[in-house]
Amino acid sequence: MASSTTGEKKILTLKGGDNEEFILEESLVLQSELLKNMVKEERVSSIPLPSIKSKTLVKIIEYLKKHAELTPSNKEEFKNFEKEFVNVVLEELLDITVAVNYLKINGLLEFCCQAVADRIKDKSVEAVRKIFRIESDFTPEEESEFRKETPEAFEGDLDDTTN
Amino acid sequence: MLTNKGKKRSTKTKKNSSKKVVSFASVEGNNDLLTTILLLLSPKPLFRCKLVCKRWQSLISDPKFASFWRLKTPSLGGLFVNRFWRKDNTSFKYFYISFTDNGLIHSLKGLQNPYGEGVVILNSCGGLLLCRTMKKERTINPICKYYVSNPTTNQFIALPEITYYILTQHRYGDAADFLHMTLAFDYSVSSHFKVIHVCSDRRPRAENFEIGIYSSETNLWKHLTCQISNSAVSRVDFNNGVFVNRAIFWPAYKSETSIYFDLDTESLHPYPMPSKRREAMYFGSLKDRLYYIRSKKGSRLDVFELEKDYSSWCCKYKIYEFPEMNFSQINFLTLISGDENRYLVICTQPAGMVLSINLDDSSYTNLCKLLLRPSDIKELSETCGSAVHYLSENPFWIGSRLDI
Repeated sequence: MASSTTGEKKILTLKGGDNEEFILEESLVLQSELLKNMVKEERVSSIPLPSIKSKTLVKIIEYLKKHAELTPSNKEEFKNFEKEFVNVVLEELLDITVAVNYLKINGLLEFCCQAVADRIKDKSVEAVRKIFRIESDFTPEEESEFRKETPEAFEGDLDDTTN
Repeated sequence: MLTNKGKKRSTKTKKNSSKKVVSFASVEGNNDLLTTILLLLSPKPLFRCKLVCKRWQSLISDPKFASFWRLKTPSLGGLFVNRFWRKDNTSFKYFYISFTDNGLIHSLKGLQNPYGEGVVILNSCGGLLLCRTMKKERTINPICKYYVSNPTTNQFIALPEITYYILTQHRYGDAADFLHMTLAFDYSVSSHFKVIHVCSDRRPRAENFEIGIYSSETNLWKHLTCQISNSAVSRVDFNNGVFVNRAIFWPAYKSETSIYFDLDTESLHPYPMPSKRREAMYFGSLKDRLYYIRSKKGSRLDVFELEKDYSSWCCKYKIYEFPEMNFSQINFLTLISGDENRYLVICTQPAGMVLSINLDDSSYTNLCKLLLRPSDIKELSETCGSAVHYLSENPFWIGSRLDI
């Protein structure tokens, strides 16, 4: 285990869903409550995260690095970075949100949830179902009742894709 | 760097710890995460999400969710202002001033009305409106119908007719004159609403009251007789009841006391009024407290709050006239909240400017300008605030279909 230390800084390997490895400073992953506990309790040097796609992991690591560099003077820059961070296709945003929730990165989680809420707020019922791949389990009678009583809920933005 | 052996070992350790973590697949599959996102939605989108599937519906319908959502989501809603009135008592139109849209005025062609007849808003509570319609052709003894509507979700539920004996005693009167209805709804307590009506006995020092309680849970009226001995009862204004803290409070004019109806014990009790002389310019509730506003010499408004034990009132805010706002000619005023702040919304003559004043720091915002006609102004001054109804948006309540 001595090999996991280079100089003063501890190094940790994260393994994404497609077996891709990411080597980073241990201090960075401490922003994740989940990883922090693993590192502290069990002194691991490599953590497999099979349920997180490498693409998602790349994004999250990018955030962790930026966030670690956050100082009062580059606050604006960080805000812009955050905005750009969630400016991805909706499916990717959902993947990131789920992963961030799993990793328990609290500040980022709140930001991601708000971004998801902003994306679905103008969508119609149908579009929301498509986004989350949900089949309606209401009876056809209930369904037609909703449509009759509240037609405007089914209007709205029908586009279920990216923006 | 890591040796193969080391790698294997650490993977094993991870396997042990991963037992603690439930696997996840999507946002949709994770109730906590989904709830966190849904809590961030404003009323209308949230209502749409309720129609997505049964699981989402039950997540959003949970009263706990509702109370969290209220804390997180400032929803200022809007104000219904009675626009005009015809002598036949059946045609009302309303302005809707939306605070959510920064004072945008919607001219309502008519409130959603299941009966296609003239409709009047009697009461607003927790995002629901209690409305009454009257059939025009029978002007001598018109038939009143009552329904509760949720303008945010466009739903309504019709109240069953009141058929019990007291109506026969008043057979020749106008039902609207003696049936006084108040809506009671608090989603953080129950997803069902109640409507309370009182049949007032016009004899002075009357002691018996016929009270009807409708519950949307049973869809039935329940009747009871309550007794109270109080010299003030003949001065109680049963038309302007306010639901707050599981009780209905009625104002009384030119009287030191009035009465309230406790919904838990189903009994009437006396409570004090702040002033014997002046009539209230506003009598209503905000954040579980009862408020009463009166004008002081036409240049100051005193906002009174009823103490939690209902024993007395305290003057909570004093608002002084300022150049943009002349307090001697007020069309209407009302209190609203929605975020952490409390606001006084006030409309004055002759310009019809509507301002919102933050009660805590006295800052104000111009909301809009209402084009009121002389008849509107006359009506507003005579109805003493009951022609204005504040509605907070409520995405939760879902009614059943209407049987006409």
